[in-house]
Amino acid sequence: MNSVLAVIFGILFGFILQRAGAMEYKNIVKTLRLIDLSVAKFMFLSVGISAAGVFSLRTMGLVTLDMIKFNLLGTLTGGLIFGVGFAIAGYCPGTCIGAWVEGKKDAVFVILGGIAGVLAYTLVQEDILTYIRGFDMGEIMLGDFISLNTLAVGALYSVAIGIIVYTADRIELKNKEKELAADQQEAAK
Amino acid sequence: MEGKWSWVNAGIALGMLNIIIFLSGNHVGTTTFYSQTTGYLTGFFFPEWIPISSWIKGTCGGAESLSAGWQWLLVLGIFIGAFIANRTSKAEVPKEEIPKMWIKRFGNRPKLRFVHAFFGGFLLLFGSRLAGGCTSSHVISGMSQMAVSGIVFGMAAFAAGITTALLVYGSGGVVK
Repeated sequence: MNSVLAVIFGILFGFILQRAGAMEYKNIVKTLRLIDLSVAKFMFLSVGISAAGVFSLRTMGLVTLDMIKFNLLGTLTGGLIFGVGFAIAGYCPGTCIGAWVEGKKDAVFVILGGIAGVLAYTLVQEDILTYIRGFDMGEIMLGDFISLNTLAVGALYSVAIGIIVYTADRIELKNKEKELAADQQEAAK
Repeated sequence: MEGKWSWVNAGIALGMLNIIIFLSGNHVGTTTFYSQTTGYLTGFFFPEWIPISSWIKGTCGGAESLSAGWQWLLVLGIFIGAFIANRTSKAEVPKEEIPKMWIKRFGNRPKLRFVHAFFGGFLLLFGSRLAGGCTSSHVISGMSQMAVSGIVFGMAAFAAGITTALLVYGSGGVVK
């Protein structure tokens, strides 16, 4: 049953990512070049909504958290390496699968590169793990540091993300209007 | 962007889906798919090379064996979902071999683009394994739980991604 759910959730996930335009190189790179933040706004809005849902349902005992361990060195370095790859590839590990289906030839090479990357990591993982083990900080979340009810922290977090996304959207809109006005002035000359 | 959803609608849809996935007791993630597949391939062709245990330990997250697990099936679903979305899309999705924006910057050199794509993919998955997850598991799933790992990963990935993109394309938005 759970296997069937996995496929169904995957189908919905893939469908949404395609409709959001997250499977296109230009939209990812436009976000990273700060030209059009649509993909980032889409992602973080979904995180804000999910967080509100997750922490409400958790209070009712319907959801349990399952986090990835935080390793100061591993998470940070891994994230930085990932970010460089993100900008060069123009896809992330999930969206390149969809881009491949859409007939983007370069996405196939991202997948092949990904397989090579996993292989390379596995060959050196013992050495890396020995080195970064001391930086392991376990499964921690923001609620662990703030002496407030977790639901309250979750609500604040969710609202904060909403405000950040909304502000980014406003700034973007203003910049676009400015650009448009400048273009019109240019045209009038 | 005709035929596409606005970022608001798409964000609400993904948020709702993510909540339902949490309710089902699962979490999204795609990195494990790569480990499982790579482990299976190397195990099939070079069984002596890397012991199965090293794929299961660490590399494969929480999976107990090398098999088509939950996350593998989720990626299979993404494949099908993208296919359905593509075929039902009103907007014609251009079947471009390489992205137009990239051509404007580097010229029409498909082979060079494929080298970039391979290198980018290598970094994506090497970084993901080192960090223990990717955009799906760290950001979509992790940040929704206020996980410190997810927040740090997301910030690091965007900081490095923005810096790289601006360096590659120039900061003035020269190449539109």
